[in-house]
Amino acid sequence: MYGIVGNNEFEDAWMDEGINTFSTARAIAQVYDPNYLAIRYFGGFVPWVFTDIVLSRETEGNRLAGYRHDARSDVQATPSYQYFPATGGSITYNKTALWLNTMERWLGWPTLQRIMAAQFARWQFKHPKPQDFFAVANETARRDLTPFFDQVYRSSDVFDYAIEDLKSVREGSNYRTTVVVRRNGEARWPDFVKVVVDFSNGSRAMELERWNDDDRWKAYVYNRPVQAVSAQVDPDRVLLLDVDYTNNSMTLEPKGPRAATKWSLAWMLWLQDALLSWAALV
Amino acid sequence: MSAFGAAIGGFRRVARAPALVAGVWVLTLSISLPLAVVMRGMLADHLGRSLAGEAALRGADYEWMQEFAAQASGVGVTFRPTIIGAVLDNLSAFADVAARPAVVVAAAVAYILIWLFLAGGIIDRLARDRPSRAHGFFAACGVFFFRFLRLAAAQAIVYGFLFGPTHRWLFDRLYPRMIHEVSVERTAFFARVVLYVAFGTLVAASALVFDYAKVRAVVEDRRSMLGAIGAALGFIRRNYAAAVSLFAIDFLLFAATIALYALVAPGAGRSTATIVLSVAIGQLYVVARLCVKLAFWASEAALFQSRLAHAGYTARPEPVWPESPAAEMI
Repeated sequence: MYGIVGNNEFEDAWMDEGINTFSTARAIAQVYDPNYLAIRYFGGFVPWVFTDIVLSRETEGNRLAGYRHDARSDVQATPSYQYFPATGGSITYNKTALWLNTMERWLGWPTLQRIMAAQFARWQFKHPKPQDFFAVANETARRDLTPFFDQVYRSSDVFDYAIEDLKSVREGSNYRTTVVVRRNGEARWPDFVKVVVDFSNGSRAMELERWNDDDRWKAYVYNRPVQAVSAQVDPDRVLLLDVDYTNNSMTLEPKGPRAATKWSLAWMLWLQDALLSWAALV
Repeated sequence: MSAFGAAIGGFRRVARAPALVAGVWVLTLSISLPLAVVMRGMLADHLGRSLAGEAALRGADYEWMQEFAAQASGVGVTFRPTIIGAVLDNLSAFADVAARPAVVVAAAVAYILIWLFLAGGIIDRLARDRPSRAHGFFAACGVFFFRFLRLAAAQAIVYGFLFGPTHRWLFDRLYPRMIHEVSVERTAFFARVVLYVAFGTLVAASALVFDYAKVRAVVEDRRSMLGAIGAALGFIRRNYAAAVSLFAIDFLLFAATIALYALVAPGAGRSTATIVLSVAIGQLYVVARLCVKLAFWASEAALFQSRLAHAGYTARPEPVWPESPAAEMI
């Protein structure tokens, strides 16, 4: 699309750079599988591959960490040259890649592929504006995606859905399970919000519900003969713009303390090694 | 005694001082463990009851690490994937004088100060090559602490100059000029290696002088640290080949320790057994690094004593406890 479709790089840089970032991440995920984290040491000359860490296209490829840091810095609809300089990249590159990938996971790749192809076919050797892309998307997807674009393009609000509480207590012969889901962020997912609750016998309850602008939380109550194990909101991680996915789940059998012990011991060794490095000068 | 003989002698002296090795390991642990406990609390708080805890326990959950880093403060900002393996990250940071968070710098300063306090006792124990017991050890620590503090002032000036203006000149001014017209990456890499060698030689030469200054201060009970530096320079000049060879042997041992650990270092443990194994191997590595550090001083003391005195000689008499009947009367 780049070079053939004449986007306005000065005012709508995301139409080039964001789509590039999305496409690059998609291509890398297909070519490099698995794609391990590699860090270059000693002035950038000595690469080291961390085979413990596989980078995912959805988060690393689309640069979620950078977006998370700068998410509120600018409304994407602001002309690019007016973005705050230090964070403009995150809004231009990262946010676009994230919402395009979110569209892919939400509408399906065939639909997004058709949108991209239609945008190219319609606007090659011309100068489209953002609203032209949105019009193509609405038309090709055969649904009104405006509420989605309002959230991701015309707003700097962030998405953050969370499981606020999970209880499962015995009441007679049943367990009363209560799940509280909260919308911490200002942004609102315009489609169904999926919540799943897993029970100890392997069964699963699923809720699909649209949230209104006023909805900040929802509670779900189950009376079942088995205890709940965990609850998750957006378990398929459709919404890649969610800035805190750790809080999207809660379990009654948390492994966090053990994981924290494991990683703090690994960190301690790193610290000991750092101390020994500098103590070499004593 | 040859450099190789001094190296062997030094390693044997360290091997005959297991309490010393255990002591410095406990010191290292006592500085790092409280911070690790703080880190554990931060990690546990962030993971909470999330299912991310399971992923973090099973392996390395990079996405969770990123989310943790985004909200971390204090000691938490140092929690990054580069802690896995640890060695390369710290070596690179040392060579490139990378900035570290204040909390790590503070821990390093405390650690170095304690090493300064213990250095007199450690070198005294290694030079005597016989147990000095707690009172003898700490008496030597007390005797030499303020002398070594004065020496540390000279060290701070020299190392400050090396890791400050010299490093900046080499890597921020000279290096860009060297590679200005270079279009082949390996040529630029070679240029950088040359600068690392040059910088490393300067640091090693300084460390060599300060090491022998400490050894001479302890063995000869010197009070003037400028005099000890002068005496160290004189000893190195007269025994240049042996002193440099010995330092090279010790450095090779250091490099071998790091290389061996890099080979066997487990990644992020997945099961309880691998996590325990990972911690055990890690602490064995720390003990090995400490042994190498002690071996530098022990072998240098062995070389110095063999050239100018005799094995196990120290000018300062071994302290007696209680000091005297007069002290009892007081």
